[in-house]
This record gives sequence, C-alpha cells and structure tokens, in this order.
Amino acid sequence: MNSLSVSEPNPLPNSLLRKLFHAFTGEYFWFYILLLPSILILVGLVIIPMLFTLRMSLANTSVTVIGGHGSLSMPWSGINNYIHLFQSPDFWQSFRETLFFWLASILIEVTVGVAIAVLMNQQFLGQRVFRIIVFIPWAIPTVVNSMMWGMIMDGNNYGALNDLLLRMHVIKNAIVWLNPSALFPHFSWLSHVLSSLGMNTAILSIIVGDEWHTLPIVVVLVLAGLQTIPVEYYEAARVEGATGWRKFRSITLPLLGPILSVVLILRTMQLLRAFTMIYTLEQFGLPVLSIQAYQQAFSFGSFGLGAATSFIIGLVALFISYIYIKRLYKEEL
Amino acid sequence: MSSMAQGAGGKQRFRVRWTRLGMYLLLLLVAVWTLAPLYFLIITSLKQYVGTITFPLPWLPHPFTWKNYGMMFSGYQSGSTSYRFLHALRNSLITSTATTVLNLIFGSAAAYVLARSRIRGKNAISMAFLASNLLPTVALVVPFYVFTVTYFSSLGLYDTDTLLVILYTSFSLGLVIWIMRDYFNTIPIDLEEAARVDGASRLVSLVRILLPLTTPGLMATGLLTFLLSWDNFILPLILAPNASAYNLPFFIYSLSGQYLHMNNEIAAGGILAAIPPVLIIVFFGKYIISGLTAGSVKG
Repeated sequence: MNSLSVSEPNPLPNSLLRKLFHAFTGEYFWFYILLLPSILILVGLVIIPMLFTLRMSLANTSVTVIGGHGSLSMPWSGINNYIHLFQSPDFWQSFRETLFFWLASILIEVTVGVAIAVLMNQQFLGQRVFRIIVFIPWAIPTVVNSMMWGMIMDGNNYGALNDLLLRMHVIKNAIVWLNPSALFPHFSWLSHVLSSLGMNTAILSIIVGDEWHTLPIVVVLVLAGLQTIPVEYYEAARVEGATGWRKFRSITLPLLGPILSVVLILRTMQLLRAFTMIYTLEQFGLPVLSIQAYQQAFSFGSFGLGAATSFIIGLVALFISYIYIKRLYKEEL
Repeated sequence: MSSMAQGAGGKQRFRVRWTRLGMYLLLLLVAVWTLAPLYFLIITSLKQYVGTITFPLPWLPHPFTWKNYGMMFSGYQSGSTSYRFLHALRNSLITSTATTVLNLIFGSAAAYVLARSRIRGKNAISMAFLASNLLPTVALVVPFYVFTVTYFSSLGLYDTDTLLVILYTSFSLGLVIWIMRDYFNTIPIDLEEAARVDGASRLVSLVRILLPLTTPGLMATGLLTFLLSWDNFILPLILAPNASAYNLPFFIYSLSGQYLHMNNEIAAGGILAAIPPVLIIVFFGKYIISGLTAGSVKG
C-alpha cells in the first residue's frame, strides 16, 4: 500500500500548487464560475448604484453634460436634501398620493380580483377561452394601455366614456376625467370623499385604467391558488350543510392566505413603480413619488434631491421585500 | 314522504338555475369590462382621423381605412413615421431577445449553483437576488444616468441598445434566478447522481439531464423576461431618448407628443406593439402562470 503510493510519480511536488490545481479542477471552482456573472451584475448594477444614490443624496449634486461627456460635482451637504424634502408640502402631497394609489388599488385587487377568480373557478361553458380572454389585458404594453385609457377618458365629448355617458343621459356635460386639479362635478358623494382625502379626479381615473391592466395577473394567480385547494374540503363542508359564504370564509380564504399575501406584496412593489401611466397621461400633473424623483433630477437638474427621493423609494421597497422574503423563506432563514 | 323530498329537490334545482343565470351575467360583465376597451382601440385604429373627433362617436370603424396600419410599413425613408416605427420595432426585438438570452444563460447557471451547491452564503445570495428583483426601476435610474454620462461617458453607451440590454438584464435577472432555483429544487438530486455514476461530468449532466427537465421553467422565465423588456418605458425615456435606440413603447408615446395628436395612428401603433405579447399570453400563458406560482407559492 505504502510502497505503491511512493512509486507513483507525483504530478504536483509542492502543496500550494496542489491546492491551486484542486481549486481549478474541483467542482467548487465551477460553481463560482457559474455564479460569477450574476454576482457581478448584482454588485455592479444594483448594489453600487444604490450606494451611489445614497452618496448623491448627501450632496448638492449637479451634472453638466457637454458634447456627450458629463462632469459630476458632489459637494457634501449632509442630510440637507432630506430635511428639505421632509419640510416641503409637495413631498408630503406626493407621499399621500402614492399611499392613496396603493391603498385603493390593493383594495380593488383583494375584493374584485378575488371575486372574479372565485367566479371563474366555477364550472361553466367556454371556461378555457374565457381564461385566456381575461388574461389578455395583462399582455398589453403599459404605454399602449395608457394611450388607450387616455383616449377613453378624453375630456372632450368625443372621448369614449363621455360619449357613452352623454348618450345615456347620465351626464349633461363632458367630464375631464384626467384633470388632476378637479373633482367629479356629477358625483357629489365621490367628490366629497376624494376632496376630504386631498385627492382629485385624475388619480381615481388612473387607478381604473391601471386596474384594467393589472387585475388579470391578480385573478390568474388567485385562480391558480384556488385550484390547489382539494375538492374534498368542499365536499366535506357540503355534507356538514355549510352554505356558500360559509365555505368561502372557512375554507377558501384561509387556504388562499399565502398566495394572497404574495400577490399583495408583489403588487405593492409594482405600485411603487407606477410611473409610466402617470407620466404619459399627466406628465408632472400628478406627482407621485416616482414622478417627483424623475422631475427633481431630470427637469430641475437637482440630482441630490432626486437621489434622496429615489433612495427613500428604494428603502421602502427593500423594507417590503424584507417582509416578503421573511415570509417566503421562513424555513431557510 | 317521497313527494316532499321531490318537492325540495325541485326547489333546489330551481335555485341552482337562478344561481347559474346570475353567474353567467357576472361573467358577461367581466367579459365586457375586459373586451370593451380593446374593441374601442381596434375600431379607432381602423378609422380616419375625422371619425375619432366627432360627437356622437361612431361605434363602428367609420369612416373606414387601413391607412393607419399601412403608414407603419410604408418604407424606410428617413424621418417618416414608418421609418421610426420599423426602427423601434427592430430595437425592441433586438433588446428583448438579447436580454432574454443573457438572462437565461446567467440566471439558470446561478440558479443551478444556488440550488445544488453547498457554498457558503448561498441563502444570503439568493435573498439578495430576490430583493434586487423587487427594487423599483425608478430607484436606480438616477445613478444609471449619472454613471452613463460621466464616469463611463467614454464608452459611448448613452442612447444605445447595448446599454438598454445591460440594464434590462440587471432588472430581470433576480426573477429568473428565483424561479429557476425552485425548478432545480424540484428535480431529485439522485437523477443527476445516477448520470454522474455513468461517467457524465457535472456540466454534461447539467446540459443533458437537468435542462430538458427544467424546460417549462426556462420557457416561463424566458417569456417573462421578454415581456418585461418589451414593456420597458422608463429606461429608454431617460437613457435612450433619441431616435437611434428608442423602443416601441417610446415610439408610441412620441406619436402622442406630435403637434397633431392623432388617436387613430396611436391606436394602430399600439395594436402592432401589443401583438407579440398577446400572442405569447394566448399560446404560452399556461407556462407563465406555472412559473410565477412556482416562484411565489413554493409548494
């Protein structure tokens, strides 16, 4: 045994070289190689930009671009940008609008979205085709959706919605649905609710258009969740004499819990992104946080303030993802 | 006794029939809500301009024309709407396809390692990818812009497809890793080990055994990445706003910024831009749903 190993020629005489050789041939080496591109992308395009945003937000940052080459100046200014934001009423109005947008959308999604999913989980004629049709709005590109709702909610009497309501004599004059400084003239109770919340017509109109586009993904995910609930549970409840509502409350809702929370958190993240629709339809008329960050940096050239707003959005997003990840990977953490 | 039971059964059948009628009415409502805006968009795209600004609004494509579609394919003369449309279409196809390919290669490689290996910090890395996927684009556009025009300005990336591909990749990579890792986790490790006993190397077993088994996952993540890139608006708006690199969403938005805002043209462009994603949903929607639920529900 011993003599055998001695007689074999040793390919690597010293131990450091041998370690190196094993590092290159062992599978751990290949693991790192496979992981490397993704790690580089994560560090270079997410972590460093995020840290750089923090750095810019702590300075009086300005960028001057001449002939395609820009110069950056970042004179340190401490937390002045944040103080400025927290003291400005515009920031808090943005904050309230973002919050309203989020709450109203989530409310629609967990009520209407779940209701449609439960409805579609019944047996009916043409079920397969119906499922595809309901999913289609989600595939429409966001900008196309914005343009479409822009036409539907056009403030002239030839806007599709005004046309419909005028013909049905529901309203007498065209409504400027997308006007961010108005309240619905014809629906006084709605106007009252909106104005007491400091909101306007436009934000509600945008929520409706946005829900047309995003409700399908909620419906489809909840439907997938419903289909994992064993039929036997409902059978047993039926034998016990449970009514439809009771079955929904005691079986469906609790078992939908996990997927509902996932949907909620995913949608919350997307709502923080809600930029495209508001920008294309309102420009800067309805400044939710993401619009404000854009405007501060790219219209006013105040990159420090823009970075501060962006960083606040990023922090909120990270906080929400933390809750999400904790919930999802309970067993691994 | 038996007649009473029959009576109750009849009553129940009666009630069931009404419930079903109510159900079909509600389904009809959902169908109208879903289809009415699409119908409006389609008829608008088939109208002459005058038909989009008259009251009462014609509810049929009247006066009818194919011109709005025709003008998108009328040739490559510089500066024309057709030129800009075809250029945007080309850019959208190139950037979305390149992003999808890069994401699938990098993402599934990383997902494989995160699912199979026992390297240190594996879970923390997975979480970081997941969190990066949830970070809003808007939180990172300011530094991207600043990097592109200052530190990296000599690379000339501003206004190029290349820049968009790099950034799109970073935004959907987390999603790919997250979904693929779950797919790899569902495949028993014995299967792979059996192949390795037969003398296959780890790489061969990855390509020959694992990839075919994870095809549904690859389909789902690939299609999702494609859809996300196809839809992107904010990155082109800030980082590629000039004619050389803009994509379809940006082209459609630019139509609305012209001095004459022509709804019929915007509608036609919008429908053309929506066709690829709608086809993907109609034919492969099933894969996308299973991918999303595999990633989010975790069993």
